[in-house]
Formats: sequence, C-alpha cells, structure tokens
Amino acid sequence: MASTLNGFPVTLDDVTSARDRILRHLHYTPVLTSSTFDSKYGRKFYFKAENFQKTGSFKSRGALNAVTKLVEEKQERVVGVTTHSSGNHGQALAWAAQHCGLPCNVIVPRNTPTVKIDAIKGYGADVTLCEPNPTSRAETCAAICSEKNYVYIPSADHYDVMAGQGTIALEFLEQVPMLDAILVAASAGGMVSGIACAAKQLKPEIKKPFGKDLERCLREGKRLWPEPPQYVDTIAEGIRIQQLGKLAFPIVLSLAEKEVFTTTNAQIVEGMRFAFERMKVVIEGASGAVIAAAMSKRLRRMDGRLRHVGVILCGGNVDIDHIPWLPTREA
Amino acid sequence: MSGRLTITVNDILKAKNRIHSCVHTTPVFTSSTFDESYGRKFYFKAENLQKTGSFKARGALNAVTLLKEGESPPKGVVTHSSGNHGQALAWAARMRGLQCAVVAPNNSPNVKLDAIREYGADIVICDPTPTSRQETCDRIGRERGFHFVPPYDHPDVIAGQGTLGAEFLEQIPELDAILVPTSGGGMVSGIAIAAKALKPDLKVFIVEPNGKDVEKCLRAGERLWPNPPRFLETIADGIRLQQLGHVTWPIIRELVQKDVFSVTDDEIMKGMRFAFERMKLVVEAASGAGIAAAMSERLRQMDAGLRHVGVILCGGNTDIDRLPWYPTPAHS
Repeated sequence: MASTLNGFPVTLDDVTSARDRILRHLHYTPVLTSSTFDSKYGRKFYFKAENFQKTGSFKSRGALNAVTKLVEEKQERVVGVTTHSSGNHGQALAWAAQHCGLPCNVIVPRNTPTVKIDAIKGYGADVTLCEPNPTSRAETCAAICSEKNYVYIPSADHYDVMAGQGTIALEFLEQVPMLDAILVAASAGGMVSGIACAAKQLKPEIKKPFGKDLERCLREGKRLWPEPPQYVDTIAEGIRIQQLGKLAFPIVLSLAEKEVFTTTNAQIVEGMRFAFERMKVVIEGASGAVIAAAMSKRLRRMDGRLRHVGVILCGGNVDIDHIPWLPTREA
Repeated sequence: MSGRLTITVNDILKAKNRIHSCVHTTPVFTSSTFDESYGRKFYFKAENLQKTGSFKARGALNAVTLLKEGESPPKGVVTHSSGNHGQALAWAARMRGLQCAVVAPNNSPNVKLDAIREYGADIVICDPTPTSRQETCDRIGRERGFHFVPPYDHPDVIAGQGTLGAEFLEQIPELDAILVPTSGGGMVSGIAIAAKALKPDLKVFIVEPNGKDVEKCLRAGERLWPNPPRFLETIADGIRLQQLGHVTWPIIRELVQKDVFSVTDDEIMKGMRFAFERMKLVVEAASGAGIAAAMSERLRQMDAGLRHVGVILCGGNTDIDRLPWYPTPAHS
C-alpha cells in the first residue's frame, strides 16, 4: 500500500503541513463514546464530532487549507474565491475567505435550506442561486470565475482540500490510536480521500447513501456512473452527489475498502435519532448515515477483529425547523 | 440549624473522588458568535452530555455510594421524580448493585419512564402533585425497606452536584459568574458552596422560570411561597417546582446572588434553539433557560467586570418527538 501512495498527489506530508497551516484557527474536535451503543452493536465505537467544527462541519479544514495555500503562493494576484455547494462547503469557503481577507461568491442550488444560505451570507460572502443539478452548479460557477476572475475552490476534487480533510485522521489517530476502521460518509469523496491518504495503515470503510453504486464501481475499478452527473434521492442533502470526483476516485479505489455501506432514508433517520436522543448532539443526515452504517447488519457480520471503529460525524447543519421525523411548521 | 454548616467544600471534594470514575468530566463549549452578540465571554458546561443525560447523576451516585458503604446498607433506594433524578437514581443504584423504585406522576412522558425502566428500576405511578409524590414515596420506602434519596434536599446529593462547580472552576479558573437553572436548588447550592471556598469573588446566580419569585424571597429573607407546594406553568419541565427546598434554602440565602434571572417560555425556547442550531447540542428546556439568562437585557446591564460568565447546560433529556417549536408532535 505504501508504494502506491508515493505516486499520489496527496502525501502524509501534505496533510501534516495542512495541519500546521490550519490547526490554530479550527477546533480540535472531541471524540464521543456511548456505552449503550457499544453493548448493542458489539464493538467499541468512537464518534469524531466534526458537527462541532467551525462552520458546523469538517469542510472548514479543507477550505482553509486551500485558501491559505493559495494566498501563500499567489498573494496579490488572488482577487477572490468561488465555489458551488449544497451548503457546508459554501459556508466553509465563505468563512475561510473572510479569515484570509478575500471576497467570496458561493453558487448555491435554489432548494438549499435557508439556514444554510443565511450562514454563508453571515460570513460576508455573496450568494448566487442556480438550478438544483450538478451541471447548473458547474456552469454558473464557471461564469462567475470568468466575470470576476475568482479562483474556483471545489468542495472535494482538489488536493489541498483533501489534505485539509485528511487532518481529521491525524487527530483521530492521536485521540484513539487503536482504531481498526473508520466509517466515512462520501459524496464527491474529498474527506474519504484525505483520510485514506493520512491513515494508510488503517482501513477506511466508506459509507454512502443508497443509489450511489460505489461498491460496484470500486469492485470493477471503473467509473460506472451515468453522465451528466446526477443527484441521489436522499434526505442527506450533504451527500447527494452520485459520482465520486475525478481526482478522488483513483485514491479511493486504491486505499479504501471495496465494501461500501448503503443506507436508506429510514436508516439515516434512525442514525440521526440515536445521536439526538442518546448522545445529545445535533447532526445532519449525512452523519446519520454513518451511524446507520455502524448499526448495520453488514458491519455486524464483518471481521470480529475490527474491534475499535471510528465514525465521522461530519456535520451538524440540519435545519432545526425541518428535522426529518417532525412535521413541518407552516411558515 | 443552618444547612450551610452541614455541607462543606471537603464534602464536595470527597464526592468528587467517590464518583470520579463513573461520571464524565463534561466538556465546556464556547461560541464566538454568542460572545460577540452578548458582549462577554461565555462558557457553557455541557451536563447534557453527562451520564443519564443530566447533572443529576453526580448527586445520585454520591448519595447511593455513601449508603452502600454505610453501616447498614438498604436493600434499595426510592425517590419521586418527573424524570432526571429518577433516571439518575436508577442508574446509580444499578452501578452500586442496589434495587430502585421511582415514583412518577401519571402525566410523565413515556420516553422518560422508559429510560428509567431501562436502568432496571421499578416505576410506581402517583397523582401529579408534589404532595402525592412524597406520600407515595414514603409508603414504598416502608413497604420495601428502600431508603429515600430526595432530588435535592439532602447533603450527599448537594455535595454530588457541587462537584460540577469544582470541575468548572478547574476548567475555567477565570470565571466571574455562573448562571444556574434552579428548581429545588440542589445544583445551585452545591455550586455555591464550592465557589465560596475555591473562588470567593465568584457570583452564583439563579435562573428561574417566571413565577418562581425567588428574588422577592431572597430580598425579604423569607420563604414567601404559598403552601401546599405547587408546580409552575413552564415548558421547562425539569425546573417546575415553585419552592426551593428546605435544606437548600439557607445555603442559597447565604451564598447566592439576590439578583435572579427570570425567563419566559419564549425566551427559554430561543435559548434552546441557539444550542441546537449554533452549538449543535441537544439540550432540554431548563438548559435553554440558562442560555436565555445569558442573552438577557438584565445581564447586559450588569457590571462589565463580570467578563467570564459560566452557563450550566443542565440536561439534554428532551423528547425529540415533541420539540417545543413544533406545533404538533411526530407521528408515532
């Protein structure tokens, strides 16, 4: 495994440099445990609480690393940054840009929860709405890039972003050195790539929502998804993208396990409810999906030697007026 | 005899050693957004993350451990509780190998009763009045040989809750004030005793739902509440008692600030929403009351010298199918 890693653009050095660059501006998030969960599901589980991270998700790590590095390298020639995002990366980039004194424009699908849009504006960024499909996101963003000469910082398919996300693994391994496996929610794959590169001795096992077909792609070693890129129908709006990113795919293919955990909306809700009710933490759908993987029969049947399992609670930016198991208020 | 004389900081430090290995040293959260909005540095002690979901585990475990280690340990323990103390006692009893019975009002949410049963305790239902709770509790104690562990009016319970104060001061030595949601007064008494010994300048403030009128009582130096004891109308079901306890009253009169933060249901809900939305913490309404006090105009007008203010997030046992800002509950 180590030799293939040397060929990759994200090395352990990139991740440790990222850490030096960003750590003092971010939270070293706690690891939560639940004796109830452990007795019920037969292993020791460790929940990395990135819902407590700056901006409410792990995305601030990658965004801050990418923007800081850009400014270090290009200095006055950077006039601003832009991205397209379902919310968390948009918020993270807006925060990172404000932190570095740069203007920011975030392209956001028009069905994004208001609370996420308000949060992005709260960090001083401009918001441009687009149609809720990956193509419109990309096209609207490209237009902003050429109009304003902003640099595009993608949410996942960027090595500096991945290196930033990889700092999660450095911390997690410091906090829980005996981890045998990590369950990671995957959308475009930025976090799982970063974690895999950083934790190459471990076995990051990927978690994804139903319909992504990631396991089939990994087993065949090919991007089998249809074009143009689609959204998966899931309540976990943070992990709706069907395809892994083009840069992320080869990393995931090489370093992550081929077994992929799939979850339904009902399972995502069950995972979320556990976090709210038992752990007393607010998490969004994507994090509920990973808890569902930890609860799954598939995991139960896996190797008994996976005794210490990490679970990334990737974010907590759920609209508390639209919690999935509660009836929506009329406005 | 003043209750003040029977509990000292040494009792609290011994309690700390006694319960240390079984309870969590809960984290302290901060929010730069909150600090900017409200003009001071705030520190939120997350007892919602405590064992059993509230700070009550501390007092219950201290009391039960002392009973178990005593000369003639009882077969079990009994209490009356709308939820958090019942759950804490059930857990503490199981930790120390004692039986437990919990007397709960007939309008208790099922989710709270289920949680208590899950710790192996037996539930006995009573009428929803403080008098019925106490009478049923006394009867069960006699019938089963169980020792009564009250929710607040007991030195061992107060000393256990006091460990919260000692811990908070270790974590944030620069604290100038602590805002404490208060029902019977066990937590605020314990914290005040710890603070008096460890940092005498620290100001301990009570936070109450509207209608508790503690400030009037403290300034008069007298228990002005009507009898028999009543429940307040408030969404904060954990802090519904109108009266402070009889053991806690003299401690509070001597050591706690006479300015009391009194909050409405709307303010409580706003506080709760802040915790969910910004801090990503599930807290119950009583904790929302503490946050509401931190957000209040009254605090804003207080001495700017109170630069570092602690807020106790006392618990997280809220029914997630019935969050107060939703008009109707979740479908079952």
